[in-house]
Amino acid sequence: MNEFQGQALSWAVKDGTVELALHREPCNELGSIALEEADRFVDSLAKLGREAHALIIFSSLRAGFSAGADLRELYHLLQTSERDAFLKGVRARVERAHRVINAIDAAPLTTIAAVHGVVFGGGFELALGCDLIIADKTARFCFPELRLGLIPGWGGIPRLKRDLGNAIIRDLLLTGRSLGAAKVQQAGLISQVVAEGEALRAARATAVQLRKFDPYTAAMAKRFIKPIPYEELQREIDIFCELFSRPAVEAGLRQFVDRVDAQPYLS
Amino acid sequence: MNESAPREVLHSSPKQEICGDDVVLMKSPDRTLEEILNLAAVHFKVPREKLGPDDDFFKTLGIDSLQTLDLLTKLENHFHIELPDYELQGVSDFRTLANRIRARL
Repeated sequence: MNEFQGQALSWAVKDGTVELALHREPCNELGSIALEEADRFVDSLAKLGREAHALIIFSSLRAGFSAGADLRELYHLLQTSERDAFLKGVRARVERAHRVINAIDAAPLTTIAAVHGVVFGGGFELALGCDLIIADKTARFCFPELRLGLIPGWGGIPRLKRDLGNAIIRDLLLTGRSLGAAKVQQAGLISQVVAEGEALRAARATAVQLRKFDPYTAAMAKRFIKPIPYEELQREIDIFCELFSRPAVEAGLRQFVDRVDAQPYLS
Repeated sequence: MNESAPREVLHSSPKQEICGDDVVLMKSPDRTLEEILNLAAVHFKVPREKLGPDDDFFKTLGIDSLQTLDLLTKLENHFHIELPDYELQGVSDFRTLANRIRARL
């Protein structure tokens, strides 16, 4: 299917580029609907790849690219499910997210995440699966998982290790602080920082440039320079699921869901 | 938390501080505060005269957690600094915010 309009995301091929838009209010929290639709998207990738040379992932919401996994949905499931069934469900959800992001990471298309505003947790991990990240000046990147007694579970650590030096990864993970686009570009993760509201336009301009090159050569170059760390990704799933079985996670999720003040990300 | 303003004389013009071969222009506390108030007024479309140094910016600007991060980004870009989120924990008034920023200039 080369066009799809879903509840959480939509895609269409425009001028030889697949554009995947995230549009679930309030800030593209990635829950079961988003993952199911993303699964449909990656199932369509092979067909889309025959009509396009590039993929742009962006958010059409003002608040940002994505606030990450839908913690409220997870907490609701935790409260309403039998414990073993819940933990199995968590593993299935994480494996599904990995399948989606691995497929995007390995896509024969050149992939661009055009991001702005909040790029947190699973949203950050989705962007890390792309070949290029183009950010506007409002973008903030964060792995808040330690606040919940977790590590990032959708491939964040192995992909950061692939792309960056260890010191900045420790800073991101262990402090849980958010970093602005300028800092993240300085670290080497972002290819372009553009003015507010210009990320999608810049990504489209980049996609036009990519069209000049032979797609097979581009795909070979990508496979050579961007190996997918499957072994570490699997270890991450196991560690994440082990941590999820601890009571600290339930407490962390409850605290997040119950908070009504304006500062859940500043603590 | 509302930290009182430094008791030193408020400079009407930037103070120069010599650091090695570099001359660094240090912004006076009142100028930093004024820039924050102006920036907040413009960005969140609030009349400047409605914002005071000791106001709770969450209430005055009516912002939620995501908009607070937006404000943090605007401040980092404006002052060309890096301000870790946790340094803003418990900070709710413009004056204390200005002191935190000044410590990073």
